[in-house]
Amino acid sequence: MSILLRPEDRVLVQGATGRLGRSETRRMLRYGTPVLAGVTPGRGGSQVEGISVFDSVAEAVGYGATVSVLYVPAPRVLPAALESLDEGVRLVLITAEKVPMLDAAAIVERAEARGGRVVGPNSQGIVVPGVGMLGGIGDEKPNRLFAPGTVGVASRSGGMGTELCWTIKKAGFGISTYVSLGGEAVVGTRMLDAVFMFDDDDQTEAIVVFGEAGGTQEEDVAAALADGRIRTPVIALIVGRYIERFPGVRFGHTSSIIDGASGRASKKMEALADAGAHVVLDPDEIPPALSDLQILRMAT
Amino acid sequence: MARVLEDAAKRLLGQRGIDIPAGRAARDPETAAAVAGEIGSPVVVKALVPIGRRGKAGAVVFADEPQRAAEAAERLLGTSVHGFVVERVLVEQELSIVRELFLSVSFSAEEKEWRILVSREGGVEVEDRLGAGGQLETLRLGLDASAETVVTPERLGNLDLGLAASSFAGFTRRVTEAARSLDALLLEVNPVALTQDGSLSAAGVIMSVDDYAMFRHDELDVDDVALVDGFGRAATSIEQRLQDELSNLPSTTGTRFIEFPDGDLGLLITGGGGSLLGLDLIDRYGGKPANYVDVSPGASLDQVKAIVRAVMDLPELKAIVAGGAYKSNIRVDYFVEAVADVTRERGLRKPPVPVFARLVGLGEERAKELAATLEDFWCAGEEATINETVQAAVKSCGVGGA
Repeated sequence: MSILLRPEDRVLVQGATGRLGRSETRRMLRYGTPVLAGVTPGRGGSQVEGISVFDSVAEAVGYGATVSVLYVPAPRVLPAALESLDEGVRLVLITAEKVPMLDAAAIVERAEARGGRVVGPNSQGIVVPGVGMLGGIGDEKPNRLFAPGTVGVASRSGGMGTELCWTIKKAGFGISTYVSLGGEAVVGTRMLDAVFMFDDDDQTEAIVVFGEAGGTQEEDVAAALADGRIRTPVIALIVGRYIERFPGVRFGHTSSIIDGASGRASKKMEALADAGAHVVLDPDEIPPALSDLQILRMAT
Repeated sequence: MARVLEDAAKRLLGQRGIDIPAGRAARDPETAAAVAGEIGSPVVVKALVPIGRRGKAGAVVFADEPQRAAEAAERLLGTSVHGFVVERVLVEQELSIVRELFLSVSFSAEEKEWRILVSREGGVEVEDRLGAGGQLETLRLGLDASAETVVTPERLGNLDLGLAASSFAGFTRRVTEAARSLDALLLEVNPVALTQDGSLSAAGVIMSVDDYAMFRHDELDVDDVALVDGFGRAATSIEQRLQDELSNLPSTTGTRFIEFPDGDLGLLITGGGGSLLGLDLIDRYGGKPANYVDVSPGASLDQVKAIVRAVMDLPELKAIVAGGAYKSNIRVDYFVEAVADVTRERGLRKPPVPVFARLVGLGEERAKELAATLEDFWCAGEEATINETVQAAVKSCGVGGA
């Protein structure tokens, strides 16, 4: 069954008429995603990549849209996301980088208030093989990278998340869902949120997470594992041990800043291992871990 | 985050109803003297650099008359404080302080709320005193909640401020609202100066604003703000040259380069997570990374060339490792093309050190074609793993093993 994107969902693309919105819409459609509508204020009545464009989210929702992908610039993400959440859109994917932290926090709070879910900001997308893709991950050949299967993948890094899905595929396994969580400190779906969803999902037999130094997402997963709240096996690749010698310095994602003693990758790895997760040091170690767990390889 | 220099930070607070010492910035001793003259009473001369602990570094000087202020400015201007060159000093009125309080307002990303820390033990070395059991009160304020509901004189009761509790509560509320309106995710006032007339002033201010929010803050000039990157030290000459080159290119804000001391393996492994994995793997195999790097999505060939020049300038360089995870937001053939171009630019027949690249994603076929024409450029695609590529690079530096 998988998580986040369901077969009955219909996707609206906010900013569909922009360059990025257009090319990503094309990729999503090519993957078989049920993209229903575009929304760009002032461009209602036009068409983009064969789909209808509306002036507002309300109209697109009236037309049947249930899920939204945002391709709007960072300064306009807040109003666009709130518009969708207020119209009852159940899942909003925010791809933009550099969304102000206070805006991201306000968006997440609104999602909680409206019962919607946000993924991102700074998310590369969500892939559910057989159902669709939000965000144009994998360029023109997504089937090279993503195969259907039973491994749930959640990653704080978009590039590494794709690499892990690919590693999984090359070893003969497949994914139930891949979710790129986004690399910022404030994101709508945190690692534990994804892990809980995977744990509840019948199709997912193992969960692979990619984490980094900074923040407490991995510690939250470790605590839930230790408490027995997660029964699905978890394999974790956590990076950032080298940068522990440079606390307070921002490397890559804003969320990877180590604040004093907290947020260290080594502590995360320790907490996860103590809690029963299988902690690996590089992507190559994931397939053997899946074999050990007797996860079934997919028939080719 | 972007650190706002103290004169601008105070100006912004002053505009929001918070008392600040009279004063302004000076770029030369004559202006420093003039400002001191305008103030007409003893002043403090402070180096305007984006780091704390200036007092300990001798960068805060008291001057009881204009001539002394000019001398203090003369001594400070042009010097380096913790690696930052002092281009301006802040000359401001020395307050007659009866008591120094402490106030810090910061936004917690984890909890999505504002944290307000107040203490009656402000001043220099506040962390030490607070650690030793000084009174610290922590107030939490929800994202949209009004400060009035949380910051009340009663909540500050434990601080035993007596009559000052009410005005400290008001001061704290105004500073909190200032932080919110400025996207100042960290705003520390230390000391909050209680002066003889019973009023409270922001005598020392540290402010960091969300650099992602700069688009909505016209009130912040480019001069007011310092992006404190690297190690909270000033840029190295390689970093500075790269920054200068990048400033002439469009869309480079995601591009970062940090030089590490004593490394010999240059990194062209990009991606927020991928670059950290690269560093960890190099370390695991006993290598010594010479730098960290990341590029903006959609980086141009010119940007990649600028980075390649920086990497090739690293002093102890013995090898370069490039690429990493599957890339869709940068063309991987640019890595090869950039190395080829910069090599040629420098009149070299082949790259100055061997390059080990694992390039997959956009442009990977062209990357392999180009790499085949270069000596000492080992390029693999999906048939190699990141792990293998890093191991080969580390080995070529003459160290370590699996």
